Order: sequence, then C-alpha cells, then structure tokens
Amino acid sequence: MLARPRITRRVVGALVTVLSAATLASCASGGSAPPAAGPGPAWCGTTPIVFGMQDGGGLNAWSKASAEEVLKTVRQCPNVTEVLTVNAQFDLQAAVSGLQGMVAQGANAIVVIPDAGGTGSELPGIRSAHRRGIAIVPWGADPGGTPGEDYLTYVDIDHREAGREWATWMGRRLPQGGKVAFIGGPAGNSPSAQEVAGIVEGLRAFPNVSLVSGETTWIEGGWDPAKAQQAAAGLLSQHPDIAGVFSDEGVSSTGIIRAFQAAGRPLVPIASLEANALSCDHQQLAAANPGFQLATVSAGNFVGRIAAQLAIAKAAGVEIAEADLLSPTALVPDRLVEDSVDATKPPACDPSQPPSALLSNRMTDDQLKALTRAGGTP
Amino acid sequence: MSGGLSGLVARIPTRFAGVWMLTAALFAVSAVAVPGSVTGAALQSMLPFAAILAVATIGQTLVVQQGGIDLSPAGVVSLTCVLVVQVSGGSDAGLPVALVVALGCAAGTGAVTGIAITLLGVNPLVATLAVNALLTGVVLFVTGGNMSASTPAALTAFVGHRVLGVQVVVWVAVLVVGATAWAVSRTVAGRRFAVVGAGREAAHAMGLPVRRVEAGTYVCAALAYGAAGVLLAGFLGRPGVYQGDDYLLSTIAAVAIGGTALGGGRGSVVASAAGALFLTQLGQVVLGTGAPTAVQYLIQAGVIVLGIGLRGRVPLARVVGARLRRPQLQ
Repeated sequence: MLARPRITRRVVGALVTVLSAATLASCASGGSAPPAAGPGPAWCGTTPIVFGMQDGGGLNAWSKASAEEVLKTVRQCPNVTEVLTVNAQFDLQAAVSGLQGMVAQGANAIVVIPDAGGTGSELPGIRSAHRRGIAIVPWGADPGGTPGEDYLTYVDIDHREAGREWATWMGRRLPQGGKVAFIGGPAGNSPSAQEVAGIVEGLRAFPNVSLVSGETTWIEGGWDPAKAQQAAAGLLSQHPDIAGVFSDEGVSSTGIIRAFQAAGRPLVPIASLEANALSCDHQQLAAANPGFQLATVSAGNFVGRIAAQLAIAKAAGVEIAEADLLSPTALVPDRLVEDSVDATKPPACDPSQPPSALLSNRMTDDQLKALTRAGGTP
Repeated sequence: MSGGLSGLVARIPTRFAGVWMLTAALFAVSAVAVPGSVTGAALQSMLPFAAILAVATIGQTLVVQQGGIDLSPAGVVSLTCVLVVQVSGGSDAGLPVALVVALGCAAGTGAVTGIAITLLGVNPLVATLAVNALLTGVVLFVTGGNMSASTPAALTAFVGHRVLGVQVVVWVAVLVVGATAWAVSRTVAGRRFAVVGAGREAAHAMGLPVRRVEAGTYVCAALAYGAAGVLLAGFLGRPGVYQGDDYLLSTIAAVAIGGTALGGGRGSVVASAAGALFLTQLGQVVLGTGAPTAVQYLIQAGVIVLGIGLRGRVPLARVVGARLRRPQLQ
C-alpha cells in the first residue's frame, strides 16, 4: 500500500504562514516622513499632519505613478510628519481595513483612490472618516456619495472630455470619413463608459465618420496588450476598412498596432491614452506609415497632486490662495498632451524610461495650473 | 481508399476525436457567420495565441492525467515573461542568460510543487494554488509592479519570423506538442507516466517509482508553462506584469474540451492542443461578430458547455467511422 505521509497539516500550516507573511509584506508598504527643507508654501499651514494615501488597486504602473504624484505635493510641506500608504490590490476588504488602519494611526489628511469594488463600495469607510473630521479627498475613481457631506470633495479627470478631444482630433484626420472603433477597458468600467459618451458627442460634428463599436459599449480590450491585440484582430476581420481607432490604455495601443501589422494592414490614426511605449512606436513607425498619426491624453495621475493639496490645506485649516490652487475645478479637463500633427506637442519617447512610463507626469505645478485653467498645453 | 481512411479514423481513440470535429465545425460556422475570421490575415492573428495556449496546455494535460488540477500556470507564465524581460534588461546580449534563468526558475517551481505534493502529501489543488500565490508575490517583488524594459529584439524577431508563411511561434508549438505526444507514447518514461496516471496503486505494485514520476510531471508541466511564457514575451514584445493571468482557466478549459478525463487517466496533449485552437478561434469569431460583450461571453460559455456535453453524449467518431466503413460491409 502506498501511504501518503501524515505530516500534511503541519506543512500546510507552515505554507499558509509563509504565504500570508509574503502577502502582508507585499501589500503593507511602510511609510516614511518625506524630506522637506525650509518652510513650505502657505497652503501647507503649520499644523502637524499625518498624511494617509490609499489606493484600492495599487502596484501597477498607473498606481505607482499616482503615488509619486501625491508625494510631489506632500514633500512640499515640512509639517507633514508621517506618510502612511495602503495598496489594496483591488481587494475591497483590504481597502476598507487599510483605511480604518490609517484613521487609527492618527492620519488627519487622507487621499484615496476608491477603485476596489464598484462605485460606492468604499463609501461607508470614507464617510465615517469624514464625520470624524478627517480631511479625506477621493480621487481617480468615483466614490459615490455627495461632496461636502460624505467627503471633502472628489477630484478627477474628465474622461468624457477626453472622449470629445479624441473624437474631434479623429474627425479632422478623416476628412473623407470612414469607420472608427473604440477598444476600451473591461466591460462596464466607468472611465471607458464616460469616454465613449464623449466620443459620440465629439463625432456629431463629423457625420461621415461612423463609430462601429457601438454608442454605449466598446470592444473589450481589457487594458491589456494581448487582449487588445486579439480584440483589434477581431475588429479587422469584421471591418478590414477601419480608418481610425480609439484606445484608453497606452500600452494596449501598441497591441492594436501589432494586430494591424499581423493582418498586413496599413496603420491608421490612433487616439489613445499616453504611454512611453506608444510614443516610441510612433517614432519608429511614422516614417514608413504615413497614415499613422497619434494623439494622446494624459493618464491624469497629476490629479493626485490636486487631491493632496486640498486634503493637506483642509487638515491644516488653511484656505488655498487662488493663485496657488492647482485646479480651480474638481473635474479637471483632459486635453491632448501629445499630437503628432501639432508641432508644439510631438509624441515624447524616452527610451531610458519603462515602456509603461507616463511622461505627462513630468509637468511642473505651474504647467499643471495652466492646464487646469486656460486649457493651455502642459 | 475509404478503407484506409476508416482505418485511420478507427485508430483515433473515440474520446479524442470529438475535439477535431468540434474544431472543424467551428471553422465551418466561422466561415459562414464571420467570413472575415477565416481569411489568411485573421488566421495569422489568431494562430500565435492558439499556439501559446497549446504549449501551456501541455502542462495542464500532463497534470490532469496524473489526477491533479494545476492552478499555477498563471503564476509561472507571468514569472517567465517577467524574467525574460527583467534579467535581459531588454538587450539581446542578456537573452541567453535570461532564457536559462526563466526556464530554470520555471522548472524549480515545478520541483517545489512536485515535492510538496508527493513527499509532503499536500493536495495538488492546495499546493498549486499556494505556488501560484507565491509566484504572484515574486513577480511583484522582481518588478515592483512595473516592467523596466521590453522583450529583447532578437526574441521578438525570432518568434514573429515567418517560415512558409506562418510565424515561428506556431511552428514551435507544433514541434513541442508533437515531441511531447511522441515522448508520452513511445518512450519508457512516457509509458511509466501513463501507467502511473492510470492507477498509482497498481503502478506502485508494479514496482514503478510513482512519486518520482508524479514529481517529474509537475516539473515538465512548469517547463511547458515557462516555454509558453517565453513565447508570449517574444510575441507581445511588451508583456505586462501579470500577463499570465489568462492561462489559469483557459488551460483547464482546453484540456476539458480536448477530452482528457478530468479525474486522471487517459489524456492526449494533441487533443488538448486542438482544444486550445478551438477556444482561441471561438474567442476570435465571437469578437468578430461585433456583438455586445455580454452576449459574447454568453455565446462563448454556451458553445464550450455544449461542446463538452455533446462530446460526452454522442460518440461522433463512431458515427463517422461507421459511415466510412459501410461500403466495405457490402
């Protein structure tokens, strides 16, 4: 008889322990006090601040860039004594307990990206923090609820405007008209839904351009280059004469380019979210593909700076002067940051940066103010 | 003529004939429903994904034949993708080392799984789930959530190079599937593997090194996932950090459609590869219909359930075989 050893339970126990330790170590990244020399700007105030930063997703390129952006603002204030961070990896339970943990550790200014669970899932925790007098600013994902009642304010980029910007740009690239399609993120996600609404609005001015991917839905590209490539291949098998593509994730757009190449089709204008890799592809392929024009909007991580400024000023009890305010509106317009037909904002490729780098984050606070006010180029 | 053909059909085990008929039927329906999905260009786009899934499915088939279910393909594929990119730093000079490290780590992962299951007696589901979680952590540790480079150009060029009009990634898959099928049916190690899969108690009584064979299965399986990861990194050029996530359930689905018994025993890597082809083409056709995403999922799920169910109920090969044999009987 072949008997299995009987030490199973102990071993499983040990494995589970090791695994939980590894998981915990990966999600609870420790905070450290940011370096700040000399007195900070007036909006920092002087009250000591424990700053909390929570990301319902965390740990992908966008999330990392977002955390960096928040820290850009936090580092300006010498009165921030401690920074706490929570990355919940899209786990609602981890997001909720992480937020409670920061409150328990005395955070009095918190910015949160409530993208674990659906809209409103993280609201109870956010509301309870707000009622305890903590300056809490959700950003980057719709928290549900009401600004002023459930949280200080909700700042985000205007995805609908991004859609309009793309559509207007695309319409101008296609004076003869033609079929265009939108390859978006996972089915039902809120940014893609707002973008498609914007695209439909923008395309009204170009009646000979038809959106073949639907007016309320999109072709699911999953924000993943492999899925986007398959989606684009499917699109090309149905519409070989597609004349332009919208895409709301930059690295995925490189998958779309590969699908065109695999199908032996000439490249068409692409309106997309930014990514270093996409701009580099454009740089390499533009000469041989005269039809390949590229326009991108920013990934909008800079909204984290705006959220952090509002949270810190509120916690410190300071009114931000109009000139210092990073954005006068809670909904920040999302305008083209790269445009291959506009000499003032050519696609920026930096080979020294990772393919998924989001280079619009390099803009200074002054450039950001210009972007949020007059709609000037960053 | 028909005798030769019927002989050939008779030699295909009934269990594994169904998937070929399903696949043939799918392509026939594709040609009618979405003519664009069976053009050369569309097939060129679909085949590489089918090929990579087929390579990963080899591993799942081997594990399932030993009565297990492997939940670690996602982790291993992601890890090898990441290692190919990060170790090489995107440079061709670093590629050989990166390949050795990536496949070495894959094999090491398989060895850990195999030892946990055979020596420590951990249930395969638990062990592979744990290893998958561990690998997810390792991937995060190695990358910090962000790939620092792209796949070396040499690998991308090799994988995408066309031989006889078809990309190398497809030829590699055909070769690897063929070699594995040959090894399982024609070598001593392969026969031992089959005997242990058919019944470990009996195999033990025959004096076969059951645990070594089982542990070896997990190493081979992990190597298959690793190979799929390398091909995927080469094909995509800029893989994401969790690029393997899609390979967890799709490998199991491909094995089920292929006809390998999920309880262990009889299996066929060639039939599983056909299952991979079926699944990938199905996804592509459904995308090509332009139906809303919700409808796409419903169609896909329905066809898969129907496919597996039909294959169990109707002995398709016997039907065709009988028809081919009929002239001989007269």
